Amino acid sequence: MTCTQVREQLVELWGEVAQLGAEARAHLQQCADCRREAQSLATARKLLGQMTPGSAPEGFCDRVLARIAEVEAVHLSWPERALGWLWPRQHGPAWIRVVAMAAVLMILVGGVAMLHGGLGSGMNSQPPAMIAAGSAGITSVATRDEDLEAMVLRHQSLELMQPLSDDAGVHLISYTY
Amino acid sequence: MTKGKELSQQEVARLVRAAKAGDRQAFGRLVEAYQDRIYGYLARMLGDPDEAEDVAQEVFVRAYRSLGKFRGASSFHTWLYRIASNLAIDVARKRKRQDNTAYSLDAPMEMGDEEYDREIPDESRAPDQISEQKQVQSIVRQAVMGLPDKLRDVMVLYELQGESYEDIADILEVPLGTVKSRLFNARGQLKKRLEAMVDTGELHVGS
Repeated sequence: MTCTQVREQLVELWGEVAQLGAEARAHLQQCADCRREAQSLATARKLLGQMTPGSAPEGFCDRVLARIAEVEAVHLSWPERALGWLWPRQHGPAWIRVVAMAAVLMILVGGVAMLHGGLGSGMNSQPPAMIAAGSAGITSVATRDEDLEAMVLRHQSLELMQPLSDDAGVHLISYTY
Repeated sequence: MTKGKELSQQEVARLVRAAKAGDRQAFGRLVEAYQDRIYGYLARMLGDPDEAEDVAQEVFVRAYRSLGKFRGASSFHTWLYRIASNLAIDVARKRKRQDNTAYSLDAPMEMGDEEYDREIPDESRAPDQISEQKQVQSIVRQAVMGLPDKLRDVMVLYELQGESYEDIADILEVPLGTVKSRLFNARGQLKKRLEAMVDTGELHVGS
């Protein structure tokens, strides 16, 4: 066996002489250079094995989730920000979600309008209806100013979204805990 | 959240399904289960713990945002590693481009209105407080960092992260033979680097 062949085997075995075949071991007994090569490889393997495994720093997971929340907030369109809780983002293409959200909103608007005696009874004269929606879903509907005030006090922060339409007099409020 | 233990394939599949449906808590459990592996890999690839954390965070953010594309053809952890490997190579390339900008080490640095002389720490003479073990690890780390990116990638994944040839081939999207060939070359080059360090006296190895 040649030195080249033996050294190739040594590299593959990472210097583990015990795993060499009889012919290679016989060569090693006679070749000081190849023995030095085997020793160097075994040392390199041993030094590499001393490198301590890395652990993620404390709080890593929380920071990842916070970063995901930030990125998602930036990338959501305003209808998704307002009503993203209605439809998980990862299901289907975006336009389907927007249409679905709009349909739900129209049903809500219609329901609120019915509470006030229907669309034909001069909704413009009625106080605006407020729908509070957040991560837990729709939790309150206020149709009077005092109800709105109570709603504000109940939630830590409210962000007034764009009115759906002036005629409908419905405002969608997004809140966060 | 508590540190995650090793998850079974079924648990991983269940958590991935839940995360795809928008359950961030489920994704959080996946992060806990794989954060050490991904962070450890990046720390060894990049050599800088702060940068490794930043890139590791990016790995999981990208994974979350790309969950819809994960079909389960490869395992979840090899998919994560693939994202990490691509990011690590990008960072390494960016570093090389920045390092290629020549500047004089003797020229003073400007910080605001002040000028300061550059001081480059002499790492060959580490403070006495650093144990010999840590010195050796630091030197070995330097030797690993000195390997070409593709060889370092395979060496870190196989020798330090304990991944199999097959998983590494899946992660790097190369044939099995290429993995073995790169590992062979990486071992040979690492051995030469460490020999050179022993010859110059940077590294002392006990008998």
